[in-house]
Amino acid sequence: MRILIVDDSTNSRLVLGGYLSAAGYEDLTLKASAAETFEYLGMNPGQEVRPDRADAILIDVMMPEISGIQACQRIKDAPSLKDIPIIMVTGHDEEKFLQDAFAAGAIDYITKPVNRVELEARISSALALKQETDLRKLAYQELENQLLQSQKMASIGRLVGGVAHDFNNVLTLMMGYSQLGLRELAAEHSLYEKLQQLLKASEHAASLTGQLLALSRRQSAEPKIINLNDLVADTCQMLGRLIGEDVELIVALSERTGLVKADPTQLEQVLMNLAINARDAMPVGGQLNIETGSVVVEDWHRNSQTEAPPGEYAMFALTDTGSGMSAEVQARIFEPFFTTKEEGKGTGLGLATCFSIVKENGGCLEVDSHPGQGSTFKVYFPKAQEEKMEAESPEDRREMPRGSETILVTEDESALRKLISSILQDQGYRVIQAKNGDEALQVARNVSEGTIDLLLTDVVMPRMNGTELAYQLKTVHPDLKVILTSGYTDQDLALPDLGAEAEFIQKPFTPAALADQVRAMLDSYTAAQ
Amino acid sequence: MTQESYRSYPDKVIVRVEPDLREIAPEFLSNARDDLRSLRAALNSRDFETLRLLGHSMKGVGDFGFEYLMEIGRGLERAAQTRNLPEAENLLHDMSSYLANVEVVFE
Repeated sequence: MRILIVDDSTNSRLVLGGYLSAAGYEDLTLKASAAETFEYLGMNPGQEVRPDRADAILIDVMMPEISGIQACQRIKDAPSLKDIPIIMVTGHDEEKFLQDAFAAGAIDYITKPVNRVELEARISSALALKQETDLRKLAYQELENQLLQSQKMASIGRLVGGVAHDFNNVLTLMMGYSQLGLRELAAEHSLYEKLQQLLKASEHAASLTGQLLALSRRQSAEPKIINLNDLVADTCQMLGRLIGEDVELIVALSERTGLVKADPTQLEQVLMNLAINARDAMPVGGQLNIETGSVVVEDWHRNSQTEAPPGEYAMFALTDTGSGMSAEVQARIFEPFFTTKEEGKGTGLGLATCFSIVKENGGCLEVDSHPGQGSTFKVYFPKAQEEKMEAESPEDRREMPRGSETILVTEDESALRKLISSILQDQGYRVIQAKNGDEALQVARNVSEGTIDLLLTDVVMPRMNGTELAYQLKTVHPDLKVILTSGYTDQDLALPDLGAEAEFIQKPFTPAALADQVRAMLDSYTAAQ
Repeated sequence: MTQESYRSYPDKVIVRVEPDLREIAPEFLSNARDDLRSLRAALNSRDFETLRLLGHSMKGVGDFGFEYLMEIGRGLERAAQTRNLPEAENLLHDMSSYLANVEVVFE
C-alpha cells in the first residue's frame, strides 16, 4: 500500500516517514508542497492522472501558497482520485480548521506532535477503507459488465423474437401443407416419402427457432431436461478457442452419464468459468481433461459444502496440469471476491458464481488440488427422470374433428389466412375471413345468418391487435369464443386476461392441433350457458 | 530539563531515542542545524514572520527524544509574535549549544 506524505517542514516529513517506515510501510513518498503533490498525482493539465500512486495521503494543514485544505479539496475534486482517503495533520491550535478539512473531504485528522501509535492506527484504518472501496468498485464493474451483457442479450433477443415470429408463420404453412398433402396420399405413393422429408425438415426448423427464442430469453433460469454429454460436447467446441493453443483439450464422455434437469445456459457458464480458471493456472500451457460420468454418491467429501443428498449423480470434471493450490487457498476459493490473481486481474467472482449456480440446481461442486500437481474440479448434478417429451409422434392419421359452426379468421398474412381457412372449411366449418381488425369488425356487423361462434385471430397485427379485436367483438357477440395465435409465446406477449372464453395457440401449429383446439373451444361451456 | 540546565552544562547532552528510529535521528539533527542557520539569518534581518513560522514548525515535531527543540520552537514562536528580539537571541544561543553537544543513545 502506498502512502503519500505532504508537509512543507523537512523534519515533519522525515519523522512521519520514519514512524510509518518503522511500522512496516515501505512504499512512502514525501512531498514538500501542494504543487509538488499535484505534479506527482498527474493533476496538472497535460498530465495523466495517477490514482495508483497513493492509497492514503497525509497532508499538513499549514502550508504556504496552497494550503493543505485547498490541496485536499482539489484532490477530492478529481474523479479518479476522490476515493483516496486523506488524513489532515494539524497543529494543536489549528483545530478551528477541522470543519473546513472535513468539508474539503478529509476522512480523519491527527494533531502535531504526531503520536506514533495513533498515526499507525489511523493510517491502518484509512488503508482498510481504501481496500474496501477498491473491491466494491471492482464488483460494480463486474455487475455493470454483466448488466451490459444481459442488455445486449435482451436486444438480440428482441431481434431474434421478431425474426422467429416471421419464420413461424412460414413454418406453419410448410408444416400445414405437408400434412394436408400427406393425408391425400397413400403411403406407397412416390410423393409420400418426399412430403414426409419436407415435413421433417420443417419440424426441425421449428425446433431451431424454438431454441433461438429460448436462448435469447436468458434472464431467468429455465430448468430443462438435458443430456449432459451433449451439453458438454457442444460447449467444448467453444472452449477450444477460449483456452488457446498452448493448452491441449482432451474430452472423454461416458455413455452412462445420462440426463440432468438444469438450465443449459447456466451449466455452460459453469463449464466455461472452470475452463478459464484452468487455462489461467497454466500460463505456459498444459493439458485440460474434461470428463463426464455417472456416480453413485454415498457420502460427500468432507470439505464439499453441499446440502445435496446422497444418491445418483451425473457429473463433469475438469482436470488441469497447472500450479495447483494449497489447502488454505482451497478453503477460500468459492468466497466472493477471493482471488489469487494479481491486483486488477481477477474479480474473484467466477467460482462464487459457479458455486451458486450449482447449488441452485441442487448439485455439488468439489475441488481436489495439490501444489505443483494441478487441480480437479468436479461438478455433480442430480440425475433426472426421462420426462415424456411432447409427442413428436409422426402425424397420426386419425380423423381430425369436424364441425359446422361459424368461425371468423383474422390474419394479416394472406397465405396463412388461406391455409387456416381451408383447413377449417375442410372440416365443415363456415369460415369468414378478414385481414385485419377493422375488416373483421366490419364483416362481423354484416353477418347475415346467425352469429359468429369463434374468433380465430393473430395477436400481432398492425393498428388493432388481436386482443383489442376480441374485446370489441365481444360487446356485440357476448358468447363469442376466442383463440389467439402468435409466433411469440404467451409469456412474451403478456396477454391481458380475456377470461375462460379465450385460449392461445402458438405457431407453428399443425392442422390437427388447430382442429383439436377449435373443436375443444367450441365444445366448452361458459358460466353463462 | 529546563533551559537553565543547558546553559549551565553545555558540555554534553544525552538524548534517548527508540532503537527503531535510529535511522532518522542523525538526519533530524542535521535538519535542525539547517533550521538554525535560517533562524540566524531571519534574526539578523529582523524577519519576525520567518522566525514565527520556523518556530511554529519546530514545536510540532520531535517528541521521540528531541522535546528540547520543540520547546525552543514554542519559545521562538512566542518571541516572534511579541517581537522580542533579545529573547529570540537567547533561544538561538541555547539551540546552538544543544546542537553542538547533543549525543543520541538508542535504547
